[in-house]
Amino acid sequence: MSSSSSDAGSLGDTSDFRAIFFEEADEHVAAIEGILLGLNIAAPEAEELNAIFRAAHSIKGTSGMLGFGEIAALTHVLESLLDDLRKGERPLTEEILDLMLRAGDMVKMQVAHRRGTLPEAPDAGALVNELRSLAEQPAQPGASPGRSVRRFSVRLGPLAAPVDTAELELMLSGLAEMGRVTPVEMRNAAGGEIRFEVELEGAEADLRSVLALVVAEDAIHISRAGEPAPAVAPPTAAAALGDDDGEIFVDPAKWKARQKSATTVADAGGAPASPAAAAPRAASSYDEFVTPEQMRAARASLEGEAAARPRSPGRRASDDPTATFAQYGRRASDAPAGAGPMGRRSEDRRLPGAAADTASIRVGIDKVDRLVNLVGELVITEAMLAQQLRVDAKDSAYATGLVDLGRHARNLQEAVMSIRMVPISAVFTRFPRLARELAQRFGKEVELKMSGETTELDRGLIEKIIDPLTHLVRNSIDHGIETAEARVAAGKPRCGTIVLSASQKGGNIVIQVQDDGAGLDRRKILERAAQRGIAISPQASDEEVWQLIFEAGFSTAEAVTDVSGRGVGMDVVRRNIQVMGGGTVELASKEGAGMTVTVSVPLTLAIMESMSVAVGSQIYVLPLTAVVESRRVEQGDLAGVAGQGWTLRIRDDFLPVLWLSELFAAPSAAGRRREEGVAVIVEAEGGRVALMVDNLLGQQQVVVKSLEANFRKVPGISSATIMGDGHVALILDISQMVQLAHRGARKSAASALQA
Amino acid sequence: MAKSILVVDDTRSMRKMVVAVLQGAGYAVEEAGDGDEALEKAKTRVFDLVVTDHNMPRMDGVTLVRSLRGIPAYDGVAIIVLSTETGADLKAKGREAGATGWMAKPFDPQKMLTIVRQFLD
Repeated sequence: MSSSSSDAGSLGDTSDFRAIFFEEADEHVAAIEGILLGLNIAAPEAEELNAIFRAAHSIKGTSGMLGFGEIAALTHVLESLLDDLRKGERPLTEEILDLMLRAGDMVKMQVAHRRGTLPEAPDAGALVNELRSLAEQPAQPGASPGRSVRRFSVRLGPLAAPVDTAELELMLSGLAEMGRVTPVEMRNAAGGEIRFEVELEGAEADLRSVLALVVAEDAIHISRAGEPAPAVAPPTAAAALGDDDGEIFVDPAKWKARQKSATTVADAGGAPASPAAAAPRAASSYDEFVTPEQMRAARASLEGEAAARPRSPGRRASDDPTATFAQYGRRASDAPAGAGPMGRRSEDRRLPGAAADTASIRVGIDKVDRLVNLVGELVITEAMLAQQLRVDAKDSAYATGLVDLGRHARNLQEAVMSIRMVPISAVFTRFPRLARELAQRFGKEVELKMSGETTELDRGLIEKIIDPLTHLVRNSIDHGIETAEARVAAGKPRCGTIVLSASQKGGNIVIQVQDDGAGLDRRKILERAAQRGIAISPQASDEEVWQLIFEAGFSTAEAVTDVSGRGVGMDVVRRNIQVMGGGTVELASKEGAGMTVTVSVPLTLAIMESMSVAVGSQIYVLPLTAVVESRRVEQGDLAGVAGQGWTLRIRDDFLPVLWLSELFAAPSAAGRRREEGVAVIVEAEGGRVALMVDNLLGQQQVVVKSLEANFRKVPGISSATIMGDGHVALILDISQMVQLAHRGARKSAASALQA
Repeated sequence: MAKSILVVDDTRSMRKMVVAVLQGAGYAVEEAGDGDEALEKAKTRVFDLVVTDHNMPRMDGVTLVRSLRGIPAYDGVAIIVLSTETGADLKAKGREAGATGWMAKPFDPQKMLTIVRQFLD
């Protein structure tokens, strides 16, 4: 076997590995953070510490390979600390926990930098020092001797060509993070030498691997400082062990034991390691326990044995050319467990800790989206066929078949959509950390409880919900929960409680942020409203008063103090929730007892419950969540208000009226008078508006298609869908409608839209 | 026929790198993401060589080596542990379990091929 490929012996293009690593690193850091926050400081679970250790370890391994020295250096110290913790050599403290959380953040930033999403390289130096000094402190005197720091003299050269200065600096700063670097001579030129001394606690192999990132291996010369250069080691398998790790010098007893056992192995194999064969393997990064010669000898004797051995019964069935399908079938079911390889395998599967249920594959989101689109097309085609068939052949066998097809198509659609679904724990996991930090900052005692983390939500929504929820939790801690003293004075437990919960209700996900803080202060909100000139009756219900904090601008810096800050950014929160397929935010508050904010968003943005309306020959689609009601409008129901266009009176409200026919220059059905038709009352952030249409066509689920991706962005339109008859229908952007109507600029808006 | 190698590592990026190096040299490489998967694959066919990570969830590399050595057909197969951990105690355990060699991560691709070739060519 010789290599024919040109890049044999190198990794070649590492961009694929980098991409995988970035993804992995994100997951590992998230896992580390999640576990750290769930740790019981007094008695951490060994398995949890192991899991964090493994995550740090994985990051370190790959970043070392990819030349991300700074990430490797940081995860290295983190790993050392974790190793002490998991071995029980050091108790877990708040300080260590905080430091590890910060290390996780730093890794995240370092990864972002390497990925190119963070322009400036983060400075991990201080953090690494903190971690190292912590790791060097003997935690329990006498428990462990601590790590020995070794001094190495490094000589790089003679250099074939000058080393890239940036890389050299990166490498040196990487080393400086691992230990102390003292430059001796820096002649970075062809034929020159770079010499420095470095003190670090790693093995020589670690040092060598860092150096190899910038300098060819044969130019690297390392000797232990203050010691004579090591004599050329005799090229035997046993000696190869010596190079790697200084521990051999520390513990001669072990060294002897090892030497002895190495000899035993060699004796047993019958073939002493030949110096010539072992020589190239005496590299510092590899230990050989058995030589290839011994291996070959063992294999030869084994193969002879195997030839003499009868074949196992399980194998025979398949090898027999006369075997029938019946035999194959029988073999699987009839063979007693352990009779053949198949049977035995199923037995052996039950190894300790085997977790077959975690099997998963990683798929690019673009592939899933393509699948969602294709299934959407399928559902639409089916709907088209069904519609045609209703007309042509109502009772034929085709109709029955089509009903089945429809059901399968919808089941398939549901199954495909479920791939995009992500448990909301992906969002929730960030909150324990946030709560902890905010509580510390505001000097409060807060306990965060979470429930319904497994509730699933469309991946696209997961990202959008983070900001509003963060805002709500922050508000609760900052302004809702009182200080411990105030709480005790009010007869409440010192520690405030925030409950974050998620559940599915129909096609919606309901997320609640509930606190047992002070609640909203009705009097202060009313005062604030008066200051801002907002008219509200003093007899208004609590619900109406709470609505005030959603007013844009109600939340100014002043409000933070005046209205116990509850209004902070609530208008922004509501807007962000509303753009998520018409999500809603509701408040419930009881003075002195706390407040509950309930956020409701659709499960997915890819499918929408909708109402379709007709304007002339055109069909428009409205998100059902935005529709409040609809009513037939007769002549005289509408009233023109000078300078403000037309309004429709609904009970005590006067709603601005928009004619879709004018807005989109789509002529109404012939002969229809302007003042007659159906008004659909829709609601979005900023209020309600009456949309005048010719007819309501009905409610149905539609597959939402991006207009931008397929055509271009169109004002007043959020997206498009394909109706059962194959026609494209536009989905209206209700917030834009409301804005247009309230601006009272119908004419200019209409011309703008037509342009 | 190309010699076959089983690469076991729970870290996907690392596994892919090892695979790339070995495949680049013309070997037929299979991957396993943990010890269980590795054992399963090892029981369906006998690989010519196994490269395994040590620190993996559920079953570590040394345990995997021990389990592989429990399969008679694997008596003559070289098993190399590839780990960032190079502690002497651990390596001694690896050897007792039946590992053929212990290689440090990060690894030099050239060196890995040199070692692998000695057992396969």
